[in-house]
Amino acid sequence: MTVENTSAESPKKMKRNTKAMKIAAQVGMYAVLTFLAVIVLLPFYFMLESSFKTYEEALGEFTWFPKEFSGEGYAYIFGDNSYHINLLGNFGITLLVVIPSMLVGVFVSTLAAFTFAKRKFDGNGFLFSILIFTMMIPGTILMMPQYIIFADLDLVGTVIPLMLPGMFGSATCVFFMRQFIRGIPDSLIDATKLDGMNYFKIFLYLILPLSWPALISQIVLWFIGGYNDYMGPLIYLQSNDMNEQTLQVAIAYFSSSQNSGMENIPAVMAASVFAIIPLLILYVAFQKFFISGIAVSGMKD
Amino acid sequence: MTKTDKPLLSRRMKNNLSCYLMCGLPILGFLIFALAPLVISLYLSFTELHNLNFNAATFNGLDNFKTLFSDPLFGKSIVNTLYAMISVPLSMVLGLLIAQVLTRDSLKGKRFFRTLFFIPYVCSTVAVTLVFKWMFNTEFGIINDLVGTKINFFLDERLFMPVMIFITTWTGTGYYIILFQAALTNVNPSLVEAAKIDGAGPIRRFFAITVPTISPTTFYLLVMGVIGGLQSFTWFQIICDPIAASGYGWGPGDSGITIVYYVYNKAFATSTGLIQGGVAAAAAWVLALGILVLTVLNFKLSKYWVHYDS
Repeated sequence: MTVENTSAESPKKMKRNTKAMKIAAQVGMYAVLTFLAVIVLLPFYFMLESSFKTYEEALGEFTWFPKEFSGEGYAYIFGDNSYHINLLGNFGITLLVVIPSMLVGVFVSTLAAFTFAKRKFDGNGFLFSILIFTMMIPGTILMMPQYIIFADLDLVGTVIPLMLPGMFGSATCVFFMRQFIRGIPDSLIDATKLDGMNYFKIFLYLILPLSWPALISQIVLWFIGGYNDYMGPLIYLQSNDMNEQTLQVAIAYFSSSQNSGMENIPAVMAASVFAIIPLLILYVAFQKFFISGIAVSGMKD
Repeated sequence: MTKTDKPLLSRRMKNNLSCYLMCGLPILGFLIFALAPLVISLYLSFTELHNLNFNAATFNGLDNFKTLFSDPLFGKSIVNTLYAMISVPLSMVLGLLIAQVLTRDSLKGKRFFRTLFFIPYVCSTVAVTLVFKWMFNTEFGIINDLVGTKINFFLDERLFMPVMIFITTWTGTGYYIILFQAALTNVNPSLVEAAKIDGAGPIRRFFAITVPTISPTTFYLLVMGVIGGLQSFTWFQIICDPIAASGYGWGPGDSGITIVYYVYNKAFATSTGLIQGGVAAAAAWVLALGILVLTVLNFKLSKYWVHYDS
């Protein structure tokens, strides 16, 4: 922070003072940022560190480093164990639940977004505001009736309730893609129209390729949202067999099944490390798209 | 494509039809997965329903709402939810301050810090909850070790919520940093320079120039933050379900029951075994009305402090 100096000191001294102040402020800023960075990173360090401890060491006095690096936590969750947890299988179920509906959902949403952004038709504004309204409906209120509908169709216990709604697109995704597509110049679209393309072809061959940064950010966001979904699988895949659950619920169950003071901390932490590694890889790889995706979603026109 | 004779459908109708086809699926999705459940839920809130079988619902008038408002646990869940929402302004203010620091030209490593601060937001809620549970562990956790105490944070009625607020703030702040940083790029530098020449200090400049400029973003974040905050659930469920299973209530002294957690328990009754679907629907509607009222209030108040010019 710069401080305005109004006292009657000599200009030279004042200059030196402000310079010193500036350096001090700079150092202070870095100190605060580093402190915050430590707070952000500490849980992750702790997760990793505990996952490499032995069962006995984790339930002993707290230590900053494992006395001996042990893979028994990882061996427990991936190998044979009394709990019969199979995290790779759970991971596969998560991918099955998320990826198809993500691809279909983003495609459908973008197609709708293009229509809302670039075509004139009766009811454009009305239909779009219906979608915006959807974004405002609290998910809580829909939770039970949706369940009742799926139960009536005998679909509870299958992955369909988790996959189907997303395939109709998402209001947030339509909203975001519409913002992006509005920025594509009309002249480009008019040029392709002269070539005799219909709107669906224009969408496939012009709009989709031009929208790739926005598409990537939506796909990554969708994936992370689906991957982290907890409530959905918790309700719909209420199976007693944890091998039929998604990763998030399986890990939560795994942890609470151990919750009698004898928790296998290294195994629980190893499971947590396993669960966040795909997210970290995605985040680091697509960081740029990710952050721009988040940032634009907060802007309103 | 132009036809000289009178076509079956006018050009306008044809165009409309093709547009409806292209944007139809999300609208259809809205009808099936939002509007229909909304209507069903409204109906169910006036019925008695013990097994989530729609056909078994019997009309019982306002009984569910009476049950709800005479249930101290529901009152508790409202209080807890509002208490937990402290994390919304907390992470907003923190996010804005950090974003402000991160936009300084003289600062090196801005991108590094921004990337880092956003990591918690990306990470799996379950994994993060589990590690915090472990860190706050009574016997072997790092927090107790550093402070030199043996506090059971998750079984202490007074400490439970502050810890939860800490965790949600830890997770949420990164999102606010990103959005505020994007908003701060809209601050007009020549305006800032002019204010400097006029002798306005940094704090004055912040409130006179920065705050009004970013107010649309602040408003958006506030509205979404309130809507999301009123629906806190996952953290509480993961931490409190084992506590409830061992008989300490929904968090110590029910201090972990939020409105959505209440609805979830009434509808799916994982540990009580007593399903009251009608009460769940009624509670969900009370929550929805609460969200509506607060959101409308937010919009009404916005005209006093949100500036859309420039």
